[in-house]
Amino acid sequence: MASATDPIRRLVLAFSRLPGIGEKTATRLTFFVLNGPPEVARELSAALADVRERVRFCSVCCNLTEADPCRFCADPRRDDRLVCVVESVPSLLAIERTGEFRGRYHVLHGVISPLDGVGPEQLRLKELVARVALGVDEVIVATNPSVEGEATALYIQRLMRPLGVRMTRIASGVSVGSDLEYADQATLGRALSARREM
Amino acid sequence: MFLREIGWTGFRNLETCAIELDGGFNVFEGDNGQGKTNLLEAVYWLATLRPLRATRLQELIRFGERRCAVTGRIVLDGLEHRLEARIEEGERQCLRELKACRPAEYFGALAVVLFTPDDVGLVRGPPGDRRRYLDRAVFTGRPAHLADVLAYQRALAARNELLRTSEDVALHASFEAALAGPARRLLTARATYLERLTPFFVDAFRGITGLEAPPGLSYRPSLAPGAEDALAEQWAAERERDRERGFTGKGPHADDFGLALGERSARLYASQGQQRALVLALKIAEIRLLEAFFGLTPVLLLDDVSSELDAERNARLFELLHGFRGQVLITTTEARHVQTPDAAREFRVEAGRVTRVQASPSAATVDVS
Repeated sequence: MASATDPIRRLVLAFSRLPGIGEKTATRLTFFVLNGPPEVARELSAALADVRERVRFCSVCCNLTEADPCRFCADPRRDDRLVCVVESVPSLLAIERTGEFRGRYHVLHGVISPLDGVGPEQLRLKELVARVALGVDEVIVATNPSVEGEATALYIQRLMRPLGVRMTRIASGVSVGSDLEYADQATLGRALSARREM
Repeated sequence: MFLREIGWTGFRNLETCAIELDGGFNVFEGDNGQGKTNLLEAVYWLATLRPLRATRLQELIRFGERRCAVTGRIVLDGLEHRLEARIEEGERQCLRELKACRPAEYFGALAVVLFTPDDVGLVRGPPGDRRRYLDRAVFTGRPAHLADVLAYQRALAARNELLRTSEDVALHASFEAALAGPARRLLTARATYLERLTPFFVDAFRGITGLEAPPGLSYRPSLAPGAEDALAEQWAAERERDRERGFTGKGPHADDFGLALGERSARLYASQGQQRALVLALKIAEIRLLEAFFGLTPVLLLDDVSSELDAERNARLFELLHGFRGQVLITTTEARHVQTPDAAREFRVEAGRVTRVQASPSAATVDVS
């Protein structure tokens, strides 16, 4: 049996700890790195070290960033009175891609999930309360429409109550541009029951 | 809707084969333990992606085999659809029109309503059996029900975890409110279903039994009905007691529905025969409801029902069935127990082999399909 420090096995193990990667893929990646040009391995290891070294939390919105404050918090054209709360950086980027939102963000880095042992204290909620207390007109809660996302939204609503800030929740329903016939039954059913007057 | 053809490989004790079915009555005759119920389970598996009796998927695979598959050609509104449900390396896979798909995309082509002797336990059995039956019946006509059941279960598990680990009042209130959304949708769907089912149920029961006391169906919620806020408030009021118990005591997961004969509870007073008639009436009502509200005629699967009913009720049941426009698959130990129309297609099931019996009135010859 090879020792635990066998460099090949060590790298396979390291890759297989990444989400969505099983042992087979990890082995393939390892041998790709091993057999490919040496720059590939050098660039990968430098990038890996760099990302942990240089990326940190934005002191305002908790986004991941190299510069502090992050580019969204530093942009003077954005509206300080409007804060959109998201679960994760990918959620932030998804909203940013719409081009519809010109306020500020706040990244929670997760949702409250008792089944995964994640409580409110593990999220960036204290930072949110402190920010809102300084003066914000509206907090838009854009957590996912999952059980945990909904519960987290409701929890934030309770936290904000003493501050008297306007709270809104993003709508959920049929996605625009897709045909109704392709929407799954749960989404379409929800969209029907949350229909609005016109 | 009817199954034109069904085939299987590696499924239970059944030998690999495909059979062509009649759009009306199909009778499967054979001694006990030959594979009749396995055959109905194959149809049930194809329609629902769930085993009928097995608790683990692995049990569906024929001893010594590594995989199993059931395929079907279904005629729906004049078009032929193809479904396949298989187990490969312990994983469930489903294909529609020969393409792998998600379960949500799979359902819709084939709906079945099944009656087995085990179902008689529904009247007297534990409430959990009745809830599962109800949710399954609701799901057949309302596929989105599944998402609500799953969301409710997840929210419930989260609240139960909080009961053990947290004293944060705001956190409890947030999860109680998150629980109320799917709970409200579950309760509405179940109540609507039972309300719509009742007239069909009364009719069917009278049809089977003649003039017995009118049967009743009632939902027994453990929480007072109300809007989401009202449900969340009741959970908040129960919080201390739930904490002592260590789990959520009330909610759709603890509800029940009761069957009655006249003024009396069927659970306490119905005879064996009445219980069978009640359950059969429920299933027939389920079919009539699907037809009336969704224009859907499901395939009816009857597993050895005649052995469960007395001669008179049996005769009435077949009278009712003759009026049914849909497809029926029925198993029996002896073909003479079932009074099927002359056009019924007969099959023989022996040691896992299913063969067609030629419908010639003189010498019955066996045709290996």
